[in-house]
Amino acid sequence: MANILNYTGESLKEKKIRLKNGKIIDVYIPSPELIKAVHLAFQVNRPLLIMGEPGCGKTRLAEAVAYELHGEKMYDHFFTWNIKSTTKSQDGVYQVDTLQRMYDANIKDDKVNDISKYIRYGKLADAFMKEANGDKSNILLIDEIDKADIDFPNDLLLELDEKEFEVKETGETIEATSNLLIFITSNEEKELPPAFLRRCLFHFVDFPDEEQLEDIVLARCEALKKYPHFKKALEAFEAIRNNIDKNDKRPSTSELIDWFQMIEYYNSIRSNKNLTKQEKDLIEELEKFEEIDNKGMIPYSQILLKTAESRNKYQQNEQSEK
Amino acid sequence: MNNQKNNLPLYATFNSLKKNGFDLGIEEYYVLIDALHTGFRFYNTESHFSKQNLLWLAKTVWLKPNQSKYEFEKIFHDTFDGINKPSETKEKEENKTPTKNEPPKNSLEKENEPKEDNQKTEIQTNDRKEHLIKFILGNTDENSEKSGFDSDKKRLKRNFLFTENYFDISQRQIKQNFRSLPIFQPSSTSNEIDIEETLHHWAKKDFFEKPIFKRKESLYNNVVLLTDNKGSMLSFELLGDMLNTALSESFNGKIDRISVDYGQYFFYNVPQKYFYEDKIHIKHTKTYELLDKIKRKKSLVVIYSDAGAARGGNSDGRFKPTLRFLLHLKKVAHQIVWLNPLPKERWNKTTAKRISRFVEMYSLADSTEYKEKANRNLQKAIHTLKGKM
Repeated sequence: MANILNYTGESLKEKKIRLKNGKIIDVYIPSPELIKAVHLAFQVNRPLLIMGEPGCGKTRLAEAVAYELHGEKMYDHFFTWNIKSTTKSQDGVYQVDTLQRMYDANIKDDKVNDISKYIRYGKLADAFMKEANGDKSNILLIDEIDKADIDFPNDLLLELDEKEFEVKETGETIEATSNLLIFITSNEEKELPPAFLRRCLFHFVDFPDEEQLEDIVLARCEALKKYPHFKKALEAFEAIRNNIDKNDKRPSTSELIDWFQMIEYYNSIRSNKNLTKQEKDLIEELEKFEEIDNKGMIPYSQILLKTAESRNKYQQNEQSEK
Repeated sequence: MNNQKNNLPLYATFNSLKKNGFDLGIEEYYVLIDALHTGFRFYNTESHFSKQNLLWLAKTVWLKPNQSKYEFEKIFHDTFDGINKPSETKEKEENKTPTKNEPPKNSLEKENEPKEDNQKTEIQTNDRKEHLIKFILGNTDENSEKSGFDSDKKRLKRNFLFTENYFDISQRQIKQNFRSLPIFQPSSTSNEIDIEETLHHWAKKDFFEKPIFKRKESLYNNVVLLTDNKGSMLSFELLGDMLNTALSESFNGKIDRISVDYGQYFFYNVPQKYFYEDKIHIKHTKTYELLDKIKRKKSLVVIYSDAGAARGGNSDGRFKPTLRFLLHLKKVAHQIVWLNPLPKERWNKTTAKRISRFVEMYSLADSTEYKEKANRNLQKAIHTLKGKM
């Protein structure tokens, strides 16, 4: 039986997986610290709060753990609650479909007498109920908790602590009887209430180092292993990242991967015949980058430089190099 | 009794962290114990205990976002020395297998401690709970005070409290309070349901149909923060910034609140002919124009100033013009509150006390040790702002 303590991160290190239902699980390479944190969270039965730059793979962790433990059946054991600014804590637990009940009352349907027929459970409840049914090693992801109201995390304290909730209308109490692994992600800037923070273990996902970056990119873009300017591109990426102010939008792992995928693609079609003008232009950008005397020009800069400020700065540097 | 305390793993670190402002309670300590009890596996190459692994565990369980990682690590290293007291080591000898571990180096290590192989700290499984971890963190105060220079350093450290919370009220509390101000859009189509009317209607018809909406009026369209800066208000500038942040977040840029204007203006000591739109007092706005806008737009006004309480002293030169301004303001503003960064006790016999008789003045400071008053005062201020609603 799947055991969260067996998570090693190995299953998604090499290549991406396509599930039978068509869904693709991409390569994911967690750091050893992150793996340790996952185990710890499970052992002490506390949620794991993961923070880090946008695009560093916080959300993907939960998916990766679910895949490694459950394979094809992962969606039976993996619950995602995506938080929006309008989300209330009750949304994750349950709602009573009063509208449906009113309609049924208008047509004088007897169903209205049984309120339990109108209880719609949220993701938190689904996860608890799965655990309560004896199915172990379930994973709940509460994604981007900081998007919601400032008090939202505090509203969840009882549910996160006791792993149970009560349906007031029916008096039923649902409890997750064993250790449910809860991942909570948050973006760096927002403040979270102290009472909530105390309940969680905390792990900060650092930006990967050079070696890790190389692994990540090569795992996603296998063809680039033979690309002669791979190191040069990697260095260019790091240079850009280091030159952008921390408070600005720095390109993150996901942008890096997008960028390299673009390079991989245009590198692969460059010797094709019958290229469109657009394709030729884009290949030309790549060729310019590859030139030996290129000083700081990068192809497809719009993937890495998202803000007007950073683009201006880059263009200025480009002009001055010419 | 002291001996028992010394047997608790990382007890000294835990206490030191608490003293230095890290928000930790007994529950958090239990989590660490839990982790150690459940045989947390330390993943270094030899699968042995190492100080780094223990530090990682402590950080994951006790360090929260926005806290200083550097400070945490410093406290950990200062309090951890991993030496077993002689009595325990002898007991555990037979249970331990020799390891390659070296005792962590520590400048305050006592020379008479035996450094043998049995000075071990391997993590046991559940079966051997009672022989579990014995990280003895020596360095109780009596020991270190013996060396002169070090004791001075320690004493100095004890006299300072390093904390992020300089004021008696936090940014979060301020934001929370201002968020509770209700806002309505000044539109003719309301989207608030008149519940009583609706229920009557439905009961009459014996049918659930469209709900009945309330007639809505806008309650205020403009919020103004008048900030006294420079001079004696310099030390309270950050608190003023926090007020500004909270107010601008509450009223600017959010979809359902887009109809309320917010502006901050600066003055020095006494509101006079001009207010300024920046801290350096370069770009000015004429006071009568500001009062005009306040009148036109149904405004809430928040004044942030010590009103003379910081330097003390009672000055007519301050009081009279302030009073004149307040009287004008009262005629045009919907509601006014005055927030004073000094505690109420400091207002006595100063201009602030006199001014407080003409305006609702609340203190954002709390001279008691519990630091709850500031938040409660702000709540009262918000309540006043809601006043006529």
